Parts: sequence; C-alpha cells; structure tokens
Amino acid sequence: MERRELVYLLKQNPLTPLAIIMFAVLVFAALFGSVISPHDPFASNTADALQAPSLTYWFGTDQLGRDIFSRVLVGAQTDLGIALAAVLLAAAVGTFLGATAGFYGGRTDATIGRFTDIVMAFPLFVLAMAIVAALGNSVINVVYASAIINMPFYVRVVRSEVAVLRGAGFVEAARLSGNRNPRILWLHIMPSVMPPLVVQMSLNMGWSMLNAASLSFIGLGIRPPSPEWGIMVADGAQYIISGQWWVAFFPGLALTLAVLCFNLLGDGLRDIIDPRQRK
Amino acid sequence: MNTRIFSTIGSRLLGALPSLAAVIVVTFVIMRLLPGDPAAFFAGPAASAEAVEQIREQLGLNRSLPVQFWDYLGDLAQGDFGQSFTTGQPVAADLVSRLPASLELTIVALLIAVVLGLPLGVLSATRPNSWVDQVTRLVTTTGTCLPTFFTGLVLIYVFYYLLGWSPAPLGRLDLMYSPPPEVTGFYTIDAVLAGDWEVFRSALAQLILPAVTLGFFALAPLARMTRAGLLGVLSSDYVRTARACGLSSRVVLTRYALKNTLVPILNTMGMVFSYLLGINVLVEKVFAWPGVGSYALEALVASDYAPVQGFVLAIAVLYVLLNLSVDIACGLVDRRLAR
Amino acid sequence: MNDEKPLFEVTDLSVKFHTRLGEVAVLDHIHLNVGAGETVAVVGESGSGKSVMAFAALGILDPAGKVTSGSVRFADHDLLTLRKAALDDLRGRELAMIFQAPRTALNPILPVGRQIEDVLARHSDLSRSDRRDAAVAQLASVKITDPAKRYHNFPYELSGGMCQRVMIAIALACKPRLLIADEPTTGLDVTTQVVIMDLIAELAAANGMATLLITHDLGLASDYCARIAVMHAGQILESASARTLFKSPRHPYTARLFAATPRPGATLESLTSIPGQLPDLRQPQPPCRFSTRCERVQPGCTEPGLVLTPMPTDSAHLLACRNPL
Ligand SMILES: Nc1ncnc2c1ncn2[C@@H]1O[C@H](COP(=O)(O)OP(=O)(O)OP(=O)(O)O)[C@@H](O)[C@H]1O
Ligand SMILES: [Mg+2]
Repeated sequence: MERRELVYLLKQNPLTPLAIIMFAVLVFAALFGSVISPHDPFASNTADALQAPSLTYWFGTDQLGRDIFSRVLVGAQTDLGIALAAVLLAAAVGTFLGATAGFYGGRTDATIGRFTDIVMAFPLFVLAMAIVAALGNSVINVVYASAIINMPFYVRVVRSEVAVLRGAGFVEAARLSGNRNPRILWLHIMPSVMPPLVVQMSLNMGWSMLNAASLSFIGLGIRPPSPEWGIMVADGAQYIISGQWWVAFFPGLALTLAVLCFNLLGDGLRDIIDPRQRK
Repeated sequence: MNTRIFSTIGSRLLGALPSLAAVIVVTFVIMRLLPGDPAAFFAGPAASAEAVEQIREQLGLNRSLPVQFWDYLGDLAQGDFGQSFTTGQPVAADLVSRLPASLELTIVALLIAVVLGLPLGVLSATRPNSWVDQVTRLVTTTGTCLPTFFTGLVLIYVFYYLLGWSPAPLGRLDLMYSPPPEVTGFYTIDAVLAGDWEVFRSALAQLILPAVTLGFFALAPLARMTRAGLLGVLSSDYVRTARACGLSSRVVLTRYALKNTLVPILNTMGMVFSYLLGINVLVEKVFAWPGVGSYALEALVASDYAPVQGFVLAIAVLYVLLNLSVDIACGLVDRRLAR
Repeated sequence: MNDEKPLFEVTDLSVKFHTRLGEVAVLDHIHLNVGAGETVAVVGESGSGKSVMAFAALGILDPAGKVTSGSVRFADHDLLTLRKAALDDLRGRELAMIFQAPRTALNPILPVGRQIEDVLARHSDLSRSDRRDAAVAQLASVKITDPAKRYHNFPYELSGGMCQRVMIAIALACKPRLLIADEPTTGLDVTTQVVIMDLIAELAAANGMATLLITHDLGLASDYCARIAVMHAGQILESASARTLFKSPRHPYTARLFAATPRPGATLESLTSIPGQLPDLRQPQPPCRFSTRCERVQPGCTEPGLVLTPMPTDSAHLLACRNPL
C-alpha cells in the first residue's frame, strides 16, 4: 500500500483514527481499570446509595452505594475478555473447519457445510440462550455459546478464500516442489486468508460484546456482584422509571461506545485491506 | 407459469425439511444436556430415591436415547411440548396464548424498520454524500452498536419519566382496560375489529416504545443493505443500458434498479426478522411485554426447562418458515433463483 | 471529408477519473467525427479509453469520471450541456449504443421483449398492444427465430450471441441516426462474430444509419468501416480512411498495430507484438503517451504542443506524431 493511498483512506474515513483512540482507551481500561479506579468497585456504602453524578462519584452510585465509574472501568475487562475469548475461539475453530472444507472439498466440505447450516437454522441469540441454559449458567459457557454462534461466519469466509486459492499458481508451484498437503494449506494458503479473517474478527468483536452483555442482562453468565456492563444495566433498569438514570446509563453507554469502536475499526480495516468493497 | 411457481414452492418446502429436522434434533440434544435431573425436579426435594426412580420411569428417562428421541418425536407430532410447572399449563397452550404478543411487537417493529429504512437507503444511494446519506450513515452506525435493552431504557426515561408522553412500560394494555375479544391475538387489530377505539389507543400507546426500540435495531441493516445493494445495481451494466436508451429516471430507478435490489433486501429482511425474534427476549424483559420471550425467560430463571425448550423449538420453526417464504419471494422476483 | 458539419463531432474531449490513487487522465483532448450515414471505427488496445469516450458522449460516465474539457455535438445538440430531459429524448431514439458485454448489459429479471418495449414506450406513442407487436417484429428483424416465444425469455435463458442480437434490437428499436457499437463481438465465437457484424452493417445500410464501431481488432475495423481512428492511452494518434491507413500508416503505433493483426496470407511468425504496455495514467504523462514504447522516439517528442493535424498531402489523414514513418 502506498502512503498517499493511506492518506486518502484516512481522509475518506476520519472515524478510523477516532476508533483507534477509543480502542486504546478500552484496552487501557481493561488492563489497568482496577488499578486506576478511584473507588473500590465492590465496596457498598448504603449511606451514599443512588447518588447522582458528582465530583466524588463521576457517574453516580448504584443502589448499594457503589461507585459506578469504578465499576464501569473494571467492567471493561470482563466484557472485553469474554468477547475476545469467544472471538478467538470461534476464529480458531472456524478457520480450521473452513480451511479443511475449502481445501479438501467433496464430502468433508459437505459435512462441515451441513454443520454450519444447522447453527444458522436458529435465530442466533436464541441458540446462545439455549446453549447457556443447557451447558449451565457460567461465564465459560457464555464464551462457548458466543463462539458457537460466531463460528459459521469464519467457516464461510475462510472456506471461500481457500477454495479460490487452492487453484492459484503459487499453490501449484508449492505442490510441484514437493510440499505436502497440510504444509501447503497452512504455510502457503493461510497467510493470504489472514486479511479478510482479521476484518471479520474485528467486526465480530462488537457483535460478541453485544451478545455477551445481552446474555448477562437476562441473567445468564456472569453473576452479581461482578461488575459487568450488561448486569449493571439490568440492575439500573428498575431505577429508570423513578428517575435515577445514571445507574443504567453509564454502563450502557460504555457498552455502546465499545461496540461502536470495534465496528468502526472493522470498517476501517476493511477499507485498507480490501479496496474492492469500498464505493 | 403457475405450475412453475407451485413446483418452486414445493421444492422449497422439501428443501426446508432438513433444517426442520436439524432444529428438532438439536433441541432434543440440548434438552438432554440440561443440567439437573428432571425426575428429581418433578419429584420434589423431599422425595425418596425410589420415588425419583419411579418418576424417571414414568417420564421415560431410563430408556435408551434413540427410544427417547422417538418418543419425543411422537409427542411433538401430537403437539405435546411438555408441561410447565411454573404456570401449571401445557407448554404448547402457553406458547399459543403468548405468541401473538411477540408477533405483534416484532411485525410492527419490522414495519417501522422497512417504512423508514428502505426510503433512507434509496435516498442515500441515489444521492451519495448528501445530507440524507450522512443521516443514513449516522443511523446505521449507531443502530448496529446500540444494545436494544439500553435503547429501550433510554426511551422509557425520556418519553415516560421526563416527558410523560408514554404510558408506564408495563405490558400490552393499560390496567384500566381489558383485552379486546380475541380474533387475531393482535390487540391493535382486535380492538379495531371490535370498534373499541379507546382500547386501540391504549394498545398502540403501549406498543410504540418497544416497537421503536426493536425497529431502530432492525433499521440499520435494512438501510445499509438497501443503500449498498442499490449502489451496486445503479453502477451495473444494465442500468447503464437503460440510461443510454433514454429511459426516465423513475423507470430506471424502479423497474431496473430497485427491482433488482429486491432480492438482497428480502434476504436482509429475513435475517433481520431472525435477529428480532432473538432480541425480542431483551425488549420483552425491559417493557414487561407478555410474549413468548419473557415466558421463556421466567421459566429459565425458575429452572423450568420444558418452556425454554418449547420456546427454542417454536422460534426455530418460525424462523425456518420465514426463510422459506423469503426464498419463495426471491424466486418470484428473480427466476434464476427459482430453478 | 466534405464541408458540411458532420453528424457527430467530438472536440477536444478530456476525461479524468477520481480514484483513491488520485486523478487519472483517461482521455486526453480527443477529436473525432462521424458524418451522417458514415461508418467510422475507433481502434485501440484494451484500456485505451474507447468505452470511456462513448460513455462520456452519452452522459453515462461512472460518477467517478468527470469531463474536464471539450464538447460533444450531435446534429444541433451539444450533448454535454444539454438538459437531462432533452438528452433523454435523444438517447435511445436518435443516438443509440450497444455494449461490450451483451449478457450483463440486459436487465436480468425482465423478459427481453419487455426491455424492447420499455424503449418503445419511452420514445413512441404506440399503444400497449402495438408496442408488443413492434417488439416481436424487432426481435424478428435481428433474425431471432421464433421471436414471439423469445419475447418472454430472460437473458440467462439466451446464448451470448442471442443476447447481443437482443441488444441490437433494443438499440435499433427507434431507428437511430447514429449507432455506437462498443466491441459488439467480444466474447462471441468467430462465426457468430461475422454474423453479428454483417447484421449491424445490413441494418445500418438499410436505415441510412451512421455507425461508430469501437474495437481492438484492426482487421474487423478495416473490413466494415470507411474510416479508422487509432487510439492509444486516451489519445487519438492517427485517423484516416481505412485504405490509406492500411496502405501507408504514418504513425509508428498504427504500423505496429497492423503488424500485430492477423491477416489472410500472413504467417504466424510475421505477427509481431507491440513492445511494452499501456502507460500508467496515474503518473504524469509526456505529450505523446506512446513515446515511452516507441522505437522512433527522439528528443523533440517530449516537447509540449503535440496536436492531431491534417497531413499536407491529404487533409482527411490526421496525425499526431513528431517523427512519422
Ligand atoms: N470507473 C472508473 N474508475 C477509474 N478508472 C476507470 C473507470 N472506468 C474506466 N477507467 C479507466 O479508464 C481507462 C480506459 O478504460 P476503457 O474501459 O475505456 O477502455 P477500453 O478501451 O474500452 O478497453 P476494453 O477494450 O478493455 O473495453 C482504463 O485504464 C480504466 O482503468
Ligand atoms: Mg471498452
């Protein structure tokens, strides 16, 4: 990529730098949230319950008098962690399945295709709910459920890329120089599949965060008192109709901005990596 | 030509059978995976080991999995989804009585999304970089990252608490009114049929906020797809041909461009509807909406699994049927897809 | 060329495309004209800008492309400044075009007969049933067998040659005065190519229609056209009657093109390819864009002010070269 092309892209899409900054803030909060939080996110203080945002409590306090700002900060780790784990798992397994299907074709391809079709035959959020209900209500099961509903997308992206590349000249050359199948697949084909994969992962992060937070909003996965954005919104829901908006608002806003950040990042990456999709 | 349409529908129906089978098998497997022992559950905490064993036998849980699956199929064939111990009713009856609430909400939400999303998409595709395009970009960007439960709460705060325009977010009808005589199960339609405008107004007032919440979420993918699809079609060779032939902008837009964008739009609508079916659970919780989603949720919290399983199955079947209709509609628009 | 104004006249036309790598000057001060009833060919390598020129003339350029200089006149109309409504009255009626890829140039979800009817509905006041008859007749006129049945077919149900016939039927539905045929035979087998070209020539002669044939095939151009303009990287390098050009090409590029064109009686070994490739138009270009590939290049070739000028001996033979053959 030429420099002027990059400059052009950044000019076309000024939101990408913004997304990068937001991403940095998010990662910083996830890594150092518990160190820099002004209050103990778990310490309840009933005397200060349901305080509106102030200089002491930037985002106000919840029904137990816990500092919402600290909890939002610390919650970043949970939300980001779950989404990241789910996306990595889905990408790893999905890539393996997709690459196998695309490279070997035939019956392998058909079987793997059938499997993704089954997952896609369900409304995905309902499937995630059912999986968590079935496997048991725990954080790791939320990760598994999110990974399962994300997986078909990776299988499809990787499958179609690999199926095209299988016939490409450089793959033929590698084969003629005596490389064996798995070696060709992982050493020669996969590097070319990485860019679309990375775009897919970035776009998927936002969606996974939404899913995980939605599951905890309905009481699946993370349990109180862990600070997690979905639960915090659920906690604050009952105070909305009595006017204490901040309890639900700030964690909800944090979630929204985090998802926005990954969506913008994904769009920006796609522009840089794949010029064809841009009009 | 009519026989062609019918054979298309027939082949699509056949094509949907594997999905249906998959859905049934997966729900069965999920039910088997459920934690806890249903027999112990039904027997109650005080029951002896023998009593539990007896119930296990009654429920057929001691038989081999294939046999159990066969029984399960038999039950489904008779419309038996099991019993909910929280409501004490057959799950099938509960679902039937609550499904209209969910469908009314989802369909109105989809209508809102379509009525706003398609024109936004069309306007922004025909006027790239205009202010409409910027608005569309804003709406689609925020729409995809706002969690529905959060949007719902913000709307409640603004329109109920601050402005007082909306009624309390507590279900389908103000407590003052009783539901209209049931015809369709959709309160708005039933109220109109009964000529009861007050009930209609109340039902509508209750419906607006949750429907807007859901609709806003559905708007983004619809507008985005319409815009992208139309932009693609507008730069296609056949639209250029139509322009080169001097056809008027209106004809080019409708007969040549929009009609060719219909297939991706229909597909997106199917996908959006499936999102909505899932997201319903969240919105029903926020607005205390008595649909199947909140039914499943209440059951889930009480570890009452038959309703959850029935819900998953019902929603999945609904989804299969929906995909079927989308497929058929697409085949009617573009004959290449019908082959 | 005689003194009266030609039917179609492109003067000093330049087109730039706005891309993510900056501006691309795709057409560089093009001159071209077609008299009433005349057949003219524009010949050039793939990517030389032939289609872009036709699109610019008809006002169907991609939004990324902008006309930066020049004018296009058709009869008494300046096509580039005409109001859209007036332009629409001309396009499809007096001025028609057939496109490079017949299959994708037809609406995939509309029966082909209806696509002819749409044009008739726009430009004539025939009744609905008359339009239908006219559409069937039009399909018959391009020698499609069983036109009444073909009327209902979708493009995907027709072969490439069949689609091209439909395209011709659409273009000629209103008996235009000028037909721009953009590589009407690409993607077709050799026999079908001849059939399609003969069909166009026959219909053009029957209607007294002028034809602007766009092609990369110099042989095809000299077979069917009276005059040929040679285009390279967005510049017209030479233009003359087919005979003159064939007998005594003056531009090195034209000579190269002839050497690369298979002809009866010539052996395969006698074919030579043109060295190098089209220049990268994103970079600034010398006045003669062929100079980087030209074996006759000399220092004067880089001086500005190169224009297409008539030869002293033959005013119909135009040339833009500082060191001609
Ligand atoms: N929409 C566009 N955006 C950017 N560049 C374009 C666009 N359309 C055409 N071009 C450029 O204009 C140049 C000329 O293209 P054009 O299609 O006119 O070539 P052509 O002579 O018709 O070739 P062919 O024989 O392949 O049809 C090419 O270099 C092409 O890259
Ligand atoms: Mg071309």
